[in-house]
Amino acid sequence: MGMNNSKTNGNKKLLNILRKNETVSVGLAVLLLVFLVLARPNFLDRVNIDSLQTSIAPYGIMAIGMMILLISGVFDLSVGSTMGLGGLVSAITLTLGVSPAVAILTGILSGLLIGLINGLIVEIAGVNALITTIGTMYIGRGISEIVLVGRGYAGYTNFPDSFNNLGRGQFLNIYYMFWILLVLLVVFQLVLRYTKFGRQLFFIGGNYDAAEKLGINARRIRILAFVLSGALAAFAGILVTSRAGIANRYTGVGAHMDVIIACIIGGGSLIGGQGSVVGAFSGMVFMVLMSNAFNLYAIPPQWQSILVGIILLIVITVDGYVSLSKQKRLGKI
Amino acid sequence: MAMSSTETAISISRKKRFSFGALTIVLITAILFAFLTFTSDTFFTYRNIYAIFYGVSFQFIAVIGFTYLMIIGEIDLSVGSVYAFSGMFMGYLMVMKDVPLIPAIGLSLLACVVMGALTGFLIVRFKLNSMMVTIATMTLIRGLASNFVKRMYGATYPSVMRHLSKIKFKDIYLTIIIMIILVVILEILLRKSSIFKRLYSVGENRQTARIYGVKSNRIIISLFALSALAAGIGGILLNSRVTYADTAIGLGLEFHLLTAAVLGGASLYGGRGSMLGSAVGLIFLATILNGMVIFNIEPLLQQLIVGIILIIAVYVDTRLNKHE
Repeated sequence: MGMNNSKTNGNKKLLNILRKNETVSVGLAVLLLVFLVLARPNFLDRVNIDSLQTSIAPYGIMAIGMMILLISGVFDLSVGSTMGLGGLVSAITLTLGVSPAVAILTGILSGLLIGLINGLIVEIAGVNALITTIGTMYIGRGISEIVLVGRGYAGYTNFPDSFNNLGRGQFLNIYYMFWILLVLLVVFQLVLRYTKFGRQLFFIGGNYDAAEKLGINARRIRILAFVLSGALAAFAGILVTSRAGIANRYTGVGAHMDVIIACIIGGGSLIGGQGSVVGAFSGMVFMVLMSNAFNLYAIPPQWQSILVGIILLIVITVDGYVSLSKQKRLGKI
Repeated sequence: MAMSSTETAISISRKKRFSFGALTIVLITAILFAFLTFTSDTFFTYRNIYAIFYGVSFQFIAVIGFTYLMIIGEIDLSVGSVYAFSGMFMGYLMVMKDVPLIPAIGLSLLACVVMGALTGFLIVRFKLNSMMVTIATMTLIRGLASNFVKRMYGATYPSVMRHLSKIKFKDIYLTIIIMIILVVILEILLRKSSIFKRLYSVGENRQTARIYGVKSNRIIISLFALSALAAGIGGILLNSRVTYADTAIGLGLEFHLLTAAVLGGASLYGGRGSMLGSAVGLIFLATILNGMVIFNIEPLLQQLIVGIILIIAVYVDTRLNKHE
């Protein structure tokens, strides 16, 4: 009897741990990190650490925005094209001769605007988020292409040093952009945990109608989430642009999928109501570390998509299994 | 009496479902055709229209399963990857392993069907969100396809395989003929056959469908298998046309098909959709690109215009349906 009890308790505990969304991704990321540190001496090389930071930072920043949207029950496929556009807008305004600060703000503003448009179309016009953001993804890419006509593959280059410094500068041997990511992580983790806005995001994602009946202005909050996601994506694009010193049509292509995948591995769900900023971050760290591992071991990159696909399938299935068994326990099924 | 009143009730609700979706896109496409015909000499020529239909015929095969899935309220984002995978796997078998044509087609399509059925099984068994699962399978299958690309080192497919897309019947490409025949048959089946009508009830309400004895789980799994099979056949033909394993094959196809199906009256919430609508949606998208090339407009603008049309179409549709 006793043994049986402790066994079910153990099972429950295991279920609870799996249920805590970010555990899986944090575990995966830490395991992979430890493995790489121990197994590959060149993992800790300056060059490698640099490239890790500068890939994790922009994508991590985008993942924060995406996770906020996922929690509230929607998502944004246009982040990749917004990323490209944000970098381009900054580059163009720089070429027009404004100061880097103004250029950066204009770039962020462009993302904010796209986010606002997304939010208004989804929440006010009532068009499904998938359709809307596929539409704005096409529109954003179209605008980028038009702006770049006649500029060849290189696009815009030759930015002032003060702008490039944003992407290349370091403080205490850590890139500015990585510091920015860390600050944003802390800020948004606090926002989700301790503010009304944060809690309302979870309510809305859990049950939209009930949230509205409780007097939560669900529309406004989701629009705000779209605006945040757009602004963060554009900012990520600006960081990438200033790091590379180049703004072209390839920035952010396919980024939306990477970001969504990282968020799902990190415990987010397209159904809404679950997720955390820590999960978004660890999911993204895991993805970047994995692609780094493939580089270090010189394994062809196509194996990476296969592995990511399998991991994603396992994560989704386990999550589904856990929530099914929970519902069964509660007698809902 | 009672019978006839339920029958009218059913026919009214069915009319509502169909009249709007397919008709709108047919009308819009007709207007676009008329506009391009009057403003350009080169548009309404046999050669040009033929080229548009030939291009669309490959995507059409893939949109069949996709549309059925949308009708039952599911989505398959892995179509683009399957599209690439099927032809590349077949090509790999033929080029590197010397497998003859028919077994290569069989093995490749079998692989597609198994992957589709597994996807459907996972979704049904664990009650998963199909979009999430197919984002995963999309990534996985694309990885498999890229593997074949790398292993073939840019080799051209054997001539028997390249010939597949060029088969003609009375001077018309077979793919076009197949498309037209399938559109007619599948559209009639969707409207008249009680088996296919069930798909709409599954899409409208799983619970009710189950009460009336519709085995939705079995339907969902079979349709995911069908979607992979259809995408696989389309992909084999397109690979045959491209003549070698190009990494760009099928990239973004899922969104293209989604746009076409939605323009053709399908809804992400299920319960709506038409084969004719999806086919005309594809033709519409191809015609826009064609018109832009004729008018020498930056073809890059295409994405912008498609994006705007997509949002407006769905917006108008949402508004009108609310008023009903």
